Amino acid sequence: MKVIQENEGIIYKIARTYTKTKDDRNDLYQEIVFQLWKSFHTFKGTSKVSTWLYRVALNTSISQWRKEKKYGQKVDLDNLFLKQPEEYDSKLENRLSLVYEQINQLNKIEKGIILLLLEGKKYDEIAEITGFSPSNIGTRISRIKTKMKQRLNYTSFRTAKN
Amino acid sequence: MNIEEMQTVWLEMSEKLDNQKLLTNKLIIDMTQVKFKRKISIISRYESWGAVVCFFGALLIILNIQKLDTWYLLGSGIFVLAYLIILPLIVLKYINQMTSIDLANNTYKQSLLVFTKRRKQFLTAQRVGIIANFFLMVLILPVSAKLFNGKDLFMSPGPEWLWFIGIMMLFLVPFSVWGYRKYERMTASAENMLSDLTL
Repeated sequence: MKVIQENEGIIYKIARTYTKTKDDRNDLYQEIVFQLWKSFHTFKGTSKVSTWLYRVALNTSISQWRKEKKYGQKVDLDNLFLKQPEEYDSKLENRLSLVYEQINQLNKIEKGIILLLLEGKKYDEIAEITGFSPSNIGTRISRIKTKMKQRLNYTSFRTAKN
Repeated sequence: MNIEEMQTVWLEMSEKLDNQKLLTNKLIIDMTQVKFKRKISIISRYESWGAVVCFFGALLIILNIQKLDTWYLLGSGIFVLAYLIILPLIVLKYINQMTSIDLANNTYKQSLLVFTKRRKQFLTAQRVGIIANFFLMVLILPVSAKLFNGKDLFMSPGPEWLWFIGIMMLFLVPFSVWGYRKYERMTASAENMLSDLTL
């Protein structure tokens, strides 16, 4: 539980990256916490705890949670955690929206990589967490940058035109 | 916004988040307990109920199979039996496989690969099911007519068979076309993901 508590911010960021609505975010957040709690005993200690945590959280985001989200009850987190970032600073939230807007145009693989890059991970660490080779990570990141640049140019062009 | 600008905003958010420790032991326990309950309730839902209905139908046929006294009725009965037993088992197996990915020890790439492959298998099974539905629709009536009324519809096809097929077609064809297209789109997206992973 200590590991989960110490990394609640990371869990939040991952949940937000892979969802569009607050409900979905809340739900994915709980699923990640559940998977971390459930699988901690299988953590072999061969990698860093943070590597393991990112893996479990990212793997959960791409697979299990969606199948269950419509069923059953959920623990209400609204007053405890997920509402906070929107409340602390509207300026930051506006800039964050721009960041997530950029992230949302990426596919699942790219989302995972960009999230780890934004978390300040080195190519080697991203490679260890994702299972791609470091050189492949480099290629993918430059592809992501190109994609974002194109999108930026397109948006600027549209704005100028209007 | 370029990557460097994004990193600055991200860092700012991370600092804010690090300062608020709101997740308590109790909340974690509550979440995990709710999750366990949800897992159990999901297993008992749609797929399992569908399978139970199919298995019940199969049991009825097995118990009365001696009534299917011609080769064509027996053949039809065996097809219906196979449909009612094999297809639900395959679908349940794939669903179970999709939910049992080793999230703790797999890398992101491995999980994506395994999940996408299993999803493709599941979708293929669904597509086979859609095609088999047409055969089932034609064959289940003579089989049940023989089992429950002792009538051989192949030898003396009554108007009820035509009505049944006509009405079923009316529902089944649009539903199948819709379902098949949906599965095709989902499979295509799974294939794109697979090819992207192998780059």
